[in-house]
Amino acid sequence: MDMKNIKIMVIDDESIVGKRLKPALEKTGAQVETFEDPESALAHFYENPTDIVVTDIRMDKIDGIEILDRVLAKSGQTKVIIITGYATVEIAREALSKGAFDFIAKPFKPSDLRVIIERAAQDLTP
Amino acid sequence: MELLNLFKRSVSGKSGINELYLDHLRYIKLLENTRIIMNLFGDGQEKACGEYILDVHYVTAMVEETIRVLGTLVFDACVMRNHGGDALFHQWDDQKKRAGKILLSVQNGSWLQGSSGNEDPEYRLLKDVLNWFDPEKGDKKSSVMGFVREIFNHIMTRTCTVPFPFTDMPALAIPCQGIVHRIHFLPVGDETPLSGKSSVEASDCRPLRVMFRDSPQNAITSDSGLAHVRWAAVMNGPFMSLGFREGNRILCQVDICLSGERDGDYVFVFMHDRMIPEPLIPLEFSTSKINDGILAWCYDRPAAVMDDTLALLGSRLFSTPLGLEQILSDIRR
Repeated sequence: MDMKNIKIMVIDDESIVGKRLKPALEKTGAQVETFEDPESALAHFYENPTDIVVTDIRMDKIDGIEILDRVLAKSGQTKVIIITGYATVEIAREALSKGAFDFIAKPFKPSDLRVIIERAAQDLTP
Repeated sequence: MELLNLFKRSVSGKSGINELYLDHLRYIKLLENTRIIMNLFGDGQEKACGEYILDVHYVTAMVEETIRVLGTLVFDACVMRNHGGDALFHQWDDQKKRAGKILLSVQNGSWLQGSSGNEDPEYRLLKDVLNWFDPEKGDKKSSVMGFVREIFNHIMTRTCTVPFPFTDMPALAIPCQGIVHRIHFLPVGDETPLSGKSSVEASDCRPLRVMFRDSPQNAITSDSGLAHVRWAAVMNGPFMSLGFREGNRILCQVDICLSGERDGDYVFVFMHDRMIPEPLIPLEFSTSKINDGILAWCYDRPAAVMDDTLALLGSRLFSTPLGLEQILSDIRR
């Protein structure tokens, strides 16, 4: 699918992630929305589902696994990419077994995430 | 090879040999932990360039891991040299206090204050941690890397009470400008360290083969009339340790791991000031001065570069007088 038609949602309660990822991912031509509060993000997703969701796995209110479950329950077409931290690679593997498209471990370069996102975009049905 | 497996390998029943073997294993572990510290510092420096998406957990994990590994280094150093370790423990306490302040600032949220301009607080915190590591950014001894240097100052002055080396062990002899380097190999496990003239080339020990690859002469020779410099070596899977002492004092120690895995391989050298080290150390090495000599290390290089560097070091080490005639004369006195 053409990147210009792709909508991406980034969910991470660390403000630095959304702040830095938004301009970096917009370079692909995609439309990017960022959320620090996972509940607000899910509420927004129910109203306006996106093609790709990039979510941190460790958050206070709702963790990334629950985000994954709820997103896929609402929209099975959406590709969910999990951001993991230092000690959560095992949980990321669990996420893959539950249907996540891929995961990336922090710290990472935005260009590394862009590669995964472009792969996810190719996997989307037009 | 896992260190635990190396521990399980039997050595000769001689208690002195056991002592040398355990010292060899402890030193390997110490070098591996030192490498963890260097990798943490190097990784942090790379991330601090600003191109990465990181969060505060990356920084706090780095601080916690640093303190854990420093504690292991201090403990091992105090086992290897069992006196004079109080100062190290005091310094480790200071390091823990420094780390504790950083972690507390994250817990109470004060790390978020004082950000200026476009700098994210995560990056500012990371830079604070890197400044704590870097001896060039403050008090040299209170930095993490300065403290690691202090740990090596402590262990490189350890003394060995074992009669050293054991002259009935198999030896490699390398004539060199009026003296003969005799390298005695400690028996480890079922291996016969050297059993014939072609043993170096045929040896299973890759560090040994590589180190003497370019040496002008290497042969098993009987004692000649020449003065001997006696080295003790331990070959242990991918590891080799080679040491030369004047009495109880370490004058030169070379520790090598060549497994073919870039992440694990290293060559680490200590040379006492008396060994005239500068011309010996190939340019690929990083060096650091400590009280009585220099430390030099080479790692994170492609296998071919590691091989060439080690061969060059071996060739220089065993074809250079090194001021050994004077040292031998002092030993005889």
